[in-house]
Amino acid sequence: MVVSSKVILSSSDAQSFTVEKKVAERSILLKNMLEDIGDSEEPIPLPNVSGKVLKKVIEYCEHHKDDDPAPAEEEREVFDNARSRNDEISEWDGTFITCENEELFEIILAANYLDIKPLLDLGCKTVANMIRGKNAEQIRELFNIENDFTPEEEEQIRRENEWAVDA
Amino acid sequence: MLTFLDTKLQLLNMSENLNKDIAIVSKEFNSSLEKEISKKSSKASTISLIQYIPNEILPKIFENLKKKKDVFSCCLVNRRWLKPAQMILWRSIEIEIELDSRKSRIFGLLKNNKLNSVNFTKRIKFDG
Repeated sequence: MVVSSKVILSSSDAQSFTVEKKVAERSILLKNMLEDIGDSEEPIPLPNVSGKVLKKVIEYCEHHKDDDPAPAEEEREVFDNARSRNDEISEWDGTFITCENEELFEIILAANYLDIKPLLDLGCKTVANMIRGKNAEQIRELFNIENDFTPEEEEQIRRENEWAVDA
Repeated sequence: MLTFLDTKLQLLNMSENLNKDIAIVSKEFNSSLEKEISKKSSKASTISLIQYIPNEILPKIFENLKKKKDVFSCCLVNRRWLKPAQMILWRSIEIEIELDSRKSRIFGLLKNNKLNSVNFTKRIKFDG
Protein backbone atom coordinates (compact mmCIF):
# COMPACT_ATOMS: atom_id res chain seq x y z
CA MET A 1 0.00 0.00 0.00
CA VAL A 2 1.34 3.40 -0.96
CA VAL A 3 0.69 6.05 1.59
CA SER A 4 1.14 9.63 0.59
CA SER A 5 3.25 11.12 3.34
CA LYS A 6 3.24 14.73 2.21
CA VAL A 7 0.63 17.39 2.85
CA ILE A 8 0.34 20.81 1.24
CA LEU A 9 -0.75 23.68 3.46
CA SER A 10 -1.86 26.99 2.02
CA SER A 11 -1.67 30.16 4.13
CA SER A 12 -4.08 33.12 4.16
CA ASP A 13 -1.75 34.97 1.76
CA ALA A 14 -1.66 31.96 -0.60
CA GLN A 15 1.81 30.72 0.27
CA SER A 16 2.13 26.95 -0.08
CA PHE A 17 4.11 24.73 2.26
CA THR A 18 4.73 21.05 1.63
CA VAL A 19 5.25 19.17 4.85
CA GLU A 20 5.44 15.58 6.04
CA LYS A 21 2.07 14.25 7.13
CA LYS A 22 3.62 13.42 10.48
CA VAL A 23 4.59 17.08 10.92
CA ALA A 24 1.14 18.37 9.96
CA GLU A 25 -0.44 15.93 12.42
CA ARG A 26 1.06 17.79 15.37
CA SER A 27 -1.98 19.97 14.73
CA ILE A 28 -5.06 18.18 16.00
CA LEU A 29 -7.18 20.24 13.60
CA LEU A 30 -5.15 18.98 10.64
CA LYS A 31 -4.94 15.46 12.05
CA ASN A 32 -8.73 15.22 12.22
CA MET A 33 -9.08 16.86 8.85
CA LEU A 34 -6.65 14.41 7.23
CA GLU A 35 -8.50 11.50 8.80
CA ASP A 36 -11.73 12.80 7.32
CA ILE A 37 -10.57 13.60 3.81
CA GLY A 38 -8.06 10.75 3.48
CA ASP A 39 -5.03 11.17 1.25
CA SER A 40 -5.37 14.02 -1.14
CA GLU A 41 -3.09 16.08 -3.31
CA GLU A 42 -5.21 19.16 -2.74
CA PRO A 43 -3.65 21.91 -0.65
CA ILE A 44 -5.38 22.50 2.68
CA PRO A 45 -6.35 26.16 3.03
CA LEU A 46 -5.63 27.78 6.39
CA PRO A 47 -7.38 31.15 6.04
CA ASN A 48 -6.56 32.22 9.61
CA VAL A 49 -2.80 31.83 9.39
CA SER A 50 -0.41 34.04 7.44
CA GLY A 51 2.53 32.55 5.59
CA LYS A 52 5.01 34.14 7.97
CA VAL A 53 3.37 32.58 11.03
CA LEU A 54 2.65 29.25 9.34
CA LYS A 55 6.34 28.95 8.48
CA LYS A 56 7.18 29.45 12.13
CA VAL A 57 4.53 26.96 13.29
CA ILE A 58 5.82 24.35 10.82
CA GLU A 59 9.34 24.91 12.17
CA TYR A 60 8.01 24.05 15.64
CA CYS A 61 6.14 20.98 14.42
CA GLU A 62 9.18 19.75 12.47
CA HIS A 63 11.29 19.93 15.58
CA HIS A 64 8.68 18.17 17.69
CA LYS A 65 7.48 15.61 15.14
CA ASP A 66 8.86 12.67 17.15
CA ASP A 67 7.43 13.77 20.50
CA ASP A 68 4.75 11.61 22.09
CA PRO A 69 1.46 12.11 20.31
CA ALA A 70 -0.85 14.68 21.81
CA PRO A 71 -3.19 12.99 24.28
CA ALA A 72 -6.84 12.56 23.41
CA GLU A 73 -9.33 15.07 24.76
CA GLU A 74 -10.49 12.93 27.69
CA GLU A 75 -6.93 12.20 28.81
CA ARG A 76 -5.93 15.81 28.63
CA GLU A 77 -6.85 16.78 32.12
CA VAL A 78 -4.74 14.09 33.75
CA PHE A 79 -1.95 14.90 31.35
CA ASP A 80 -2.29 18.62 32.04
CA ASN A 81 -2.01 18.15 35.77
CA ALA A 82 1.06 15.98 35.43
CA ARG A 83 2.66 18.37 33.01
CA SER A 84 1.73 21.65 34.65
CA ARG A 85 4.28 20.81 37.31
CA ASN A 86 6.89 21.04 34.62
CA ASP A 87 7.49 24.75 34.06
CA GLU A 88 10.76 24.37 32.29
CA ILE A 89 10.96 25.65 28.74
CA SER A 90 13.51 23.65 26.78
CA GLU A 91 16.43 25.51 25.27
CA TRP A 92 15.22 24.97 21.71
CA ASP A 93 11.67 26.11 22.58
CA GLY A 94 13.05 29.15 24.40
CA THR A 95 15.03 30.27 21.38
CA PHE A 96 12.12 29.49 19.07
CA ILE A 97 9.62 31.59 21.01
CA THR A 98 11.94 34.57 21.48
CA CYS A 99 10.35 37.04 19.09
CA GLU A 100 8.45 40.32 18.90
CA ASN A 101 5.27 40.63 20.98
CA GLU A 102 3.09 40.71 17.89
CA GLU A 103 4.63 37.58 16.44
CA LEU A 104 4.26 35.82 19.79
CA PHE A 105 0.53 36.58 19.86
CA GLU A 106 0.15 35.51 16.24
CA ILE A 107 1.78 32.20 17.13
CA ILE A 108 -0.59 31.79 20.10
CA LEU A 109 -3.60 32.50 17.89
CA ALA A 110 -2.38 30.04 15.25
CA ALA A 111 -1.62 27.34 17.85
CA ASN A 112 -5.11 27.80 19.25
CA TYR A 113 -6.74 27.63 15.83
CA LEU A 114 -4.66 24.67 14.65
CA ASP A 115 -5.03 23.00 18.05
CA ILE A 116 -1.35 22.44 18.80
CA LYS A 117 -1.50 22.28 22.57
CA PRO A 118 2.21 22.17 23.44
CA LEU A 119 2.82 25.23 21.28
CA LEU A 120 -0.14 27.05 22.84
CA ASP A 121 1.27 26.19 26.28
CA LEU A 122 4.69 27.45 25.28
CA GLY A 123 3.16 30.73 24.12
CA CYS A 124 1.11 31.13 27.30
CA LYS A 125 4.14 30.40 29.51
CA THR A 126 6.13 32.98 27.60
CA VAL A 127 3.46 35.66 28.07
CA ALA A 128 3.29 34.75 31.77
CA ASN A 129 7.05 35.17 32.02
CA MET A 130 6.68 38.66 30.57
CA ILE A 131 3.95 39.57 33.07
CA ARG A 132 5.75 38.20 36.14
CA GLY A 133 6.89 40.86 38.63
CA LYS A 134 5.03 43.73 36.92
CA ASN A 135 2.19 45.81 38.33
CA ALA A 136 -1.02 46.49 36.38
CA GLU A 137 0.23 49.75 34.85
CA GLN A 138 3.47 48.14 33.68
CA ILE A 139 1.51 45.26 32.12
CA ARG A 140 -0.75 47.74 30.28
CA GLU A 141 2.31 49.55 28.96
CA LEU A 142 3.92 46.32 27.86
CA PHE A 143 0.94 45.24 25.77
CA ASN A 144 -0.60 48.63 24.91
CA ILE A 145 -3.77 47.97 26.84
CA GLU A 146 -6.08 50.79 27.82
CA ASN A 147 -7.31 50.97 31.40
CA ASP A 148 -11.11 50.98 31.07
CA PHE A 149 -11.92 50.87 34.80
CA THR A 150 -13.41 53.80 36.64
CA PRO A 151 -11.51 54.74 39.82
CA GLU A 152 -14.43 53.33 41.82
CA GLU A 153 -14.24 49.98 40.05
CA GLU A 154 -10.50 49.87 40.56
CA GLU A 155 -10.98 50.53 44.26
CA GLN A 156 -13.56 47.73 44.47
CA ILE A 157 -11.23 45.24 42.74
CA ARG A 158 -8.45 46.18 45.14
CA ARG A 159 -10.67 45.67 48.16
CA GLU A 160 -11.80 42.28 46.88
CA ASN A 161 -8.49 40.84 45.73
CA GLU A 162 -5.71 42.66 47.50
CA TRP A 163 -5.29 39.85 50.07
CA ALA A 164 -3.38 38.11 47.29
CA VAL A 165 -0.51 40.57 47.52
CA ASP A 166 0.63 39.11 50.85
CA ALA A 167 -0.18 35.54 49.90
CA MET B 1 -26.09 99.08 -17.45
CA LEU B 2 -22.75 100.07 -16.06
CA THR B 3 -23.84 99.42 -12.55
CA PHE B 4 -25.09 96.06 -13.64
CA LEU B 5 -21.69 95.18 -15.14
CA ASP B 6 -19.98 96.47 -12.04
CA THR B 7 -22.11 94.30 -9.87
CA LYS B 8 -21.41 91.36 -12.12
CA LEU B 9 -17.67 92.00 -11.90
CA GLN B 10 -17.89 92.39 -8.18
CA LEU B 11 -19.78 89.15 -7.96
CA LEU B 12 -17.21 87.40 -10.10
CA ASN B 13 -14.44 88.72 -7.89
CA MET B 14 -16.25 87.62 -4.83
CA SER B 15 -16.85 84.15 -6.14
CA GLU B 16 -13.21 83.88 -7.16
CA ASN B 17 -12.12 84.85 -3.68
CA LEU B 18 -14.65 82.49 -2.26
CA ASN B 19 -13.24 79.70 -4.39
CA LYS B 20 -9.77 80.51 -3.13
CA ASP B 21 -11.05 80.46 0.42
CA ILE B 22 -12.75 77.19 -0.17
CA ALA B 23 -9.57 75.81 -1.67
CA ILE B 24 -7.55 76.95 1.34
CA VAL B 25 -10.07 75.62 3.79
CA SER B 26 -10.36 72.30 2.05
CA LYS B 27 -6.59 72.04 1.81
CA GLU B 28 -6.27 72.71 5.51
CA PHE B 29 -9.07 70.31 6.22
CA ASN B 30 -7.46 67.61 4.11
CA SER B 31 -4.09 68.00 5.74
CA SER B 32 -5.60 67.92 9.20
CA LEU B 33 -7.65 64.92 8.15
CA GLU B 34 -4.50 63.23 6.90
CA LYS B 35 -2.76 64.00 10.15
CA GLU B 36 -5.71 62.61 12.07
CA ILE B 37 -5.79 59.46 9.97
CA SER B 38 -2.05 58.88 10.27
CA LYS B 39 -2.32 59.44 14.01
CA LYS B 40 -5.16 56.91 14.17
CA SER B 41 -3.45 54.32 12.04
CA SER B 42 -0.16 54.63 13.88
CA LYS B 43 -2.12 54.14 17.08
CA ALA B 44 -3.93 51.17 15.55
CA SER B 45 -0.67 49.56 14.56
CA THR B 46 0.59 49.77 18.12
CA ILE B 47 -2.58 48.20 19.55
CA SER B 48 -1.30 44.87 20.63
CA LEU B 49 -2.61 41.64 19.20
CA ILE B 50 -3.22 40.60 22.79
CA GLN B 51 -6.66 42.19 22.28
CA TYR B 52 -7.43 39.38 19.83
CA ILE B 53 -6.39 36.60 22.18
CA PRO B 54 -9.66 34.75 22.87
CA ASN B 55 -10.99 34.98 26.42
CA GLU B 56 -10.54 31.27 27.03
CA ILE B 57 -6.77 31.56 26.54
CA LEU B 58 -6.29 34.25 29.18
CA PRO B 59 -6.68 31.82 32.14
CA LYS B 60 -4.12 29.56 30.47
CA ILE B 61 -1.68 32.45 30.60
CA PHE B 62 -2.53 33.44 34.17
CA GLU B 63 -2.27 29.92 35.59
CA ASN B 64 1.41 29.98 34.73
CA LEU B 65 1.89 32.81 37.21
CA LYS B 66 2.83 31.06 40.41
CA LYS B 67 2.60 34.14 42.63
CA LYS B 68 -0.87 35.37 43.58
CA LYS B 69 0.54 38.89 43.58
CA ASP B 70 1.13 38.67 39.81
CA VAL B 71 -2.40 37.36 39.21
CA PHE B 72 -3.73 40.25 41.31
CA SER B 73 -1.93 42.71 39.01
CA CYS B 74 -3.66 41.05 36.05
CA CYS B 75 -7.07 41.64 37.72
CA LEU B 76 -6.42 45.38 37.56
CA VAL B 77 -5.29 45.57 33.92
CA ASN B 78 -8.70 46.03 32.27
CA ARG B 79 -12.27 44.75 32.25
CA ARG B 80 -11.56 41.88 29.92
CA TRP B 81 -8.74 40.53 32.06
CA LEU B 82 -10.62 40.81 35.36
CA LYS B 83 -12.79 37.71 35.22
CA PRO B 84 -10.21 35.21 33.91
CA ALA B 85 -7.63 36.59 36.37
CA GLN B 86 -10.06 36.28 39.28
CA MET B 87 -10.89 32.74 38.18
CA ILE B 88 -7.25 31.79 38.69
CA LEU B 89 -6.79 33.95 41.79
CA TRP B 90 -9.68 32.40 43.68
CA ARG B 91 -9.37 28.85 42.31
CA SER B 92 -7.32 27.58 45.17
CA ILE B 93 -6.67 29.41 48.38
CA GLU B 94 -4.22 28.50 51.08
CA ILE B 95 -4.98 29.56 54.61
CA GLU B 96 -2.61 28.69 57.41
CA ILE B 97 -4.31 27.85 60.67
CA GLU B 98 -2.90 26.80 63.97
CA LEU B 99 -3.96 23.33 64.94
CA ASP B 100 -4.08 21.68 68.32
CA SER B 101 -3.11 18.02 68.44
CA ARG B 102 -6.66 16.73 68.03
CA LYS B 103 -7.37 18.91 65.00
CA SER B 104 -4.09 18.10 63.36
CA ARG B 105 -4.81 14.40 63.85
CA ILE B 106 -8.13 14.87 62.02
CA PHE B 107 -6.51 16.87 59.24
CA GLY B 108 -3.82 14.23 58.89
CA LEU B 109 -6.52 11.61 58.36
CA LEU B 110 -8.53 13.80 55.97
CA LYS B 111 -5.48 14.30 53.77
CA ASN B 112 -5.18 10.54 53.41
CA ASN B 113 -7.68 9.79 50.67
CA LYS B 114 -6.96 6.05 50.84
CA LEU B 115 -8.96 5.78 54.05
CA ASN B 116 -12.53 4.65 53.61
CA SER B 117 -13.79 6.52 56.62
CA VAL B 118 -12.78 10.00 55.47
CA ASN B 119 -14.56 9.49 52.16
CA PHE B 120 -17.79 9.79 54.15
CA THR B 121 -16.95 13.35 55.15
CA LYS B 122 -19.00 15.74 53.05
CA ARG B 123 -18.73 18.98 54.99
CA ILE B 124 -16.02 20.70 56.97
CA LYS B 125 -16.97 23.85 58.81
CA PHE B 126 -14.56 26.61 59.72
CA ASP B 127 -15.31 29.09 62.48
CA GLY B 128 -13.32 32.21 62.79
